[in-house]
Amino acid sequence: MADNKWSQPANPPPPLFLGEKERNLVKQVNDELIERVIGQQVLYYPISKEHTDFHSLYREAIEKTFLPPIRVYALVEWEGHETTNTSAGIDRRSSITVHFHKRRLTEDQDLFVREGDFVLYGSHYYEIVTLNETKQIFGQVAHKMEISAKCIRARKGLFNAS
Amino acid sequence: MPVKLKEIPFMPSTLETIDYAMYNWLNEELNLFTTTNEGWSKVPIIWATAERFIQSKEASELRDQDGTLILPRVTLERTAVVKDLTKKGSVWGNVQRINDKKGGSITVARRIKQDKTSNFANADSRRLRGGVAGNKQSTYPRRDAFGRFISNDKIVYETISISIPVYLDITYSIVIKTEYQQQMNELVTPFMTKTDGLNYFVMSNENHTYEAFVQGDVGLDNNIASMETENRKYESKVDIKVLGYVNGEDKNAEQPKIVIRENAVEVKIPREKVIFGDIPEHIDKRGFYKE
Repeated sequence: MADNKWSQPANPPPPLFLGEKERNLVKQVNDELIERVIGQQVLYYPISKEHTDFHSLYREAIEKTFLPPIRVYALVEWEGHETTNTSAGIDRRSSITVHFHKRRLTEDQDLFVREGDFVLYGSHYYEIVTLNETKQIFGQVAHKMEISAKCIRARKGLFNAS
Repeated sequence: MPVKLKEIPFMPSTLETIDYAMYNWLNEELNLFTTTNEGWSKVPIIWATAERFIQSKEASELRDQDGTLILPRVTLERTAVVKDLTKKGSVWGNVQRINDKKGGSITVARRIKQDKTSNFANADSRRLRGGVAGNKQSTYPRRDAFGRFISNDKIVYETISISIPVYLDITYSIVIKTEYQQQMNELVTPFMTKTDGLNYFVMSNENHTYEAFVQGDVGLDNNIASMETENRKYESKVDIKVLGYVNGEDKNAEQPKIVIRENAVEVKIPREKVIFGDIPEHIDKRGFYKE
């Protein structure tokens, strides 16, 4: 007699057209677009909390220790210079927003973007002040497309790796 | 019974010393705990505010994996510093610092400079008892021909002085953030009751003690009337005024933090032979002319 018992699978079946292969395709296309076609890059300086001798009460470090910087291809939005007049003199600040390709960063380069780390864009250092992950891949909660990092120009006293 | 001597490390009081005293009082003396969904937990005290890289890499008990802050949380901030000449603590008069490179205003300690004192005593004894050719004895009992003790008047003291403490009226703002009214009740109450019927307490750090006063007004704030899309939150602010003092200009000081001076025990005037124009025969290595 044939065994016609039905057993329930442990996990629900994956989406028909929006599975891992499609996500890999998206990653591959984006990798090529960002690295081969557009080619913008930044140098990412991860600040090491473990190696930095920061003040135990104020939790600030005049001298910051960073891990080896990593070259990262990303989409960089240049937001321009802004001049303000302050009592200390004319102040000129610039800001950028860097759109990192999340999977490329975390899977291939083992890099995790954090507020307070620094990027070198052109010849200036920028501090990452806010992070945003705006887009999901195919609306899947576990898969994000990008990490947008709003960065402001770091004054020379804040960070200078050169 | 011999007097027990104790070495007291003495570092100048700075704004940072007072900040640490305030933080330590809050963290260790008040030692705030509250009821959370993970049990009776210690509330973290945070100096407002850390650099971004430290905040984003904080320990997991302060924020969750996504970076969202975990409440309750108490922040501490120094909000005002006033040099109020009507509040001078225990040092009311102004003692000018000594007008030389060392400076120093107030004597805090004095000790005998043992080696120099014994040098003078030995020199005197040798002059009294020694002086015989070939006698190399360097020390003698300080007694006269009748065996009576001769006191030593040439005692070299080291006098230790510091710059005058400048009293400052410092205000600290403590902000307590919670998600529940119960937590807020538990956290605000110690500020009111720790000092019993008064508002006064003392806090200390690095052997400095400062007087502090919990201000009576507690600013209570919440968003329960208009939460809309926000998280429910309670926020209270307690101000503490500290009568602190600082010594010297900290790292910008040109004079030492602790000044050590020695007293003169003997005045010697070398004989001059300018008139006769003699060539001095006995000049020591330092160029000091001795007759």
